[in-house]
Amino acid sequence: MDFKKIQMIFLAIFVMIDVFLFMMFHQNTSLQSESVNQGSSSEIIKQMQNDQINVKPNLSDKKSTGYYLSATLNNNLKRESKNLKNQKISYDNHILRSSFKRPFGIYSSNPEDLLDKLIKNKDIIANGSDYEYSADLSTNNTIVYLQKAEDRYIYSGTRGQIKFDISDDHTLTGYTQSYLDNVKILREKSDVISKKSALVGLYQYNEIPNNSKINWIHLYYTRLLSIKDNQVLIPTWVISFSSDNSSNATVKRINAYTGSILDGSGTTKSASESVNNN
Amino acid sequence: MKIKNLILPGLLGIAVVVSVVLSSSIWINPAHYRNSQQTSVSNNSIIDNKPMSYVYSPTQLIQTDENGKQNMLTNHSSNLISEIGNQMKNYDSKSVNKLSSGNIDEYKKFLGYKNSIILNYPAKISIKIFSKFINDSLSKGPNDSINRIVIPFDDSNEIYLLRDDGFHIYKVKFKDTNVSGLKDAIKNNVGTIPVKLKLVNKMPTIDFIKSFEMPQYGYLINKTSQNYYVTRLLPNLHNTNNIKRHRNSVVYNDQSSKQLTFYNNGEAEYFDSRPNFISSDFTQTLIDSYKNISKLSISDNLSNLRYFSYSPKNSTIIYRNYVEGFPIFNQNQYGAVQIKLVDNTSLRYNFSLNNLQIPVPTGGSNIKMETTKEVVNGLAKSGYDVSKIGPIELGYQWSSSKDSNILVTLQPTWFVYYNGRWNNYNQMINKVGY
Repeated sequence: MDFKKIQMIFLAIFVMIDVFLFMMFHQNTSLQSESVNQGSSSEIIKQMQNDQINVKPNLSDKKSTGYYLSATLNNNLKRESKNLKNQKISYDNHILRSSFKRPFGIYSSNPEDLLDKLIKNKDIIANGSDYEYSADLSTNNTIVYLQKAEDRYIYSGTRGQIKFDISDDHTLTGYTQSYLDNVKILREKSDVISKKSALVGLYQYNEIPNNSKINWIHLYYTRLLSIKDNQVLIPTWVISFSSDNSSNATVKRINAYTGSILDGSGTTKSASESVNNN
Repeated sequence: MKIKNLILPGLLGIAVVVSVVLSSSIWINPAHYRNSQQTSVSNNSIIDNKPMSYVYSPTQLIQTDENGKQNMLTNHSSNLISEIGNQMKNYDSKSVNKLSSGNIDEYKKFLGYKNSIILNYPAKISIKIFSKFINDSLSKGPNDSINRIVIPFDDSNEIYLLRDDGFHIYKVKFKDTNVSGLKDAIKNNVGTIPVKLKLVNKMPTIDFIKSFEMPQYGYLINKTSQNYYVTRLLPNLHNTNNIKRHRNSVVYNDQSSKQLTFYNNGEAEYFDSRPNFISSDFTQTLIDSYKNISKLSISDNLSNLRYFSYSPKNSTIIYRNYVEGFPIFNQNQYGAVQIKLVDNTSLRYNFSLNNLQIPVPTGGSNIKMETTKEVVNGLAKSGYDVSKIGPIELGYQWSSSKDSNILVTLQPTWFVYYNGRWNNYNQMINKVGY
């Protein structure tokens, strides 16, 4: 009888030990998988999807290359605009504003087909062949063309852009244009990070709110800093996303050489300021 | 009744077995045993340091045409040497034979090998390290050093490895070569400078036979914070008493084996009396030294950094920053990084906190360069002893801008090895600092 009691006590103790050991085992395995989660970028993409961030563009790991470019902001565009016909022109702060005296009717659902021809006409647009249509930046009323530079596009605020205004009654009333002259290579090409690591980087900077949708990701040349009238452009991953509770898209830039975020008060910005001040 | 009696010991037995299995699985796999504090994974370095084959790549490229005319090739938009490395990455060697050693006439023939390209190293390098440039295909090659590689543009599937010191020539035969890919790599956007590879006092020398123009470069510099190096190099520094401030410097000492000194002029010196690696083998020394500089991770992830020289006499390796295949001088006395073995036990690193960061337009025009002959004549006219003139190198002078303390200009200049150090030719003939 006593032996049976001892057995009961032992059984109770061992069951308790088993439960404890099992909890420890289970806890540690889940910790382990968590730490693996932090490592690879495809796991982070999964984590993003858990945060209801919709990642639609296909994310390649492909490595590409890019240059440091320099470009000049000068008034050549103003000079060349004197040869343009059928438009009223004003020029301010390196931006040319033009309104057509006789507006064009645009009834096609693909206005870029017509604009592609229009833009190459030297009587209507100066340096037009240096620009190309950007579907992602265009809306129904504004068609955006970006300036080309070394097999990529320049995306630098209003610089290096043509914006066509199309009114609701399908007429092309005018456009604004900015041109970056003298685009030159400053340094031999070097590797840039992949699209995937750029997005993962932005997510890890906590810049993408939950319930967002990634609209597009492009490798553009954007302005890193200006020295006098010269701009230094670098390859940049430009990421556009919109959150569920607002229709506006937010655009963030990731330095494609270093993976650091370019908007906000970064060190590069302060460097450019101190150059400008001197 | 009997079965009922077996239930309790049976359950007890199962409980014992389960506890043994669980605890042994925890013991066998220590990963299950760590606590949560240790599980943080750091993956903040998206950009990796450049591989060893990059830091130990050749720096200059000379093409010899069918008539024996030679041109140094430059390219503003891409790195010609790495393009050539890309074309050679599938090379697989069949055999390596020593053709000759000590035969000057034979050596001269290879320096002027018609219809070929020659890759030059600034200093000799072991064949096993060069092998990394061509996909490790010579990793079982001879234990010798070389400083030039002759790549004939024919279908012989051969290249030649040359060593100036002692005139060694090796012939490497590959299973297949990619001559058309190499020709394509040097076809577009290539600038040419007429040169002649010849022997001066039995030393192979690149003679720039015609004057030519070189661009200037502007850079923003990045001053790395002292803290960055302190946390990286002295992880065991806990006590602020171990920081000593002097008039010209600040010294951090971890009281055991490491000391880090920052001078007010932006230079730094790191002394490690218990380094992990010290080897007497040249290949191993170069590998260890690469590991050491990547630990410092200075200079833009090593993307501009190249091996410049090794001196066995005082066990010193120097790395310099390069632009378009030309070294930058006078950044400080010793290049971008110098690693020196002291007393066979300690390593002393010298480097600068100022690094080239972002290229910027200079607005300056190209600078006309004199020929090698004019440089030698200029030195003779200024009273320098011509017989004491060592190698003459084309390089870039690092000069700070007057307008901004974060802007530097790199000006193309001749550098002359004289009195045991590299001197700026313009300063020599204008007697600045003499």
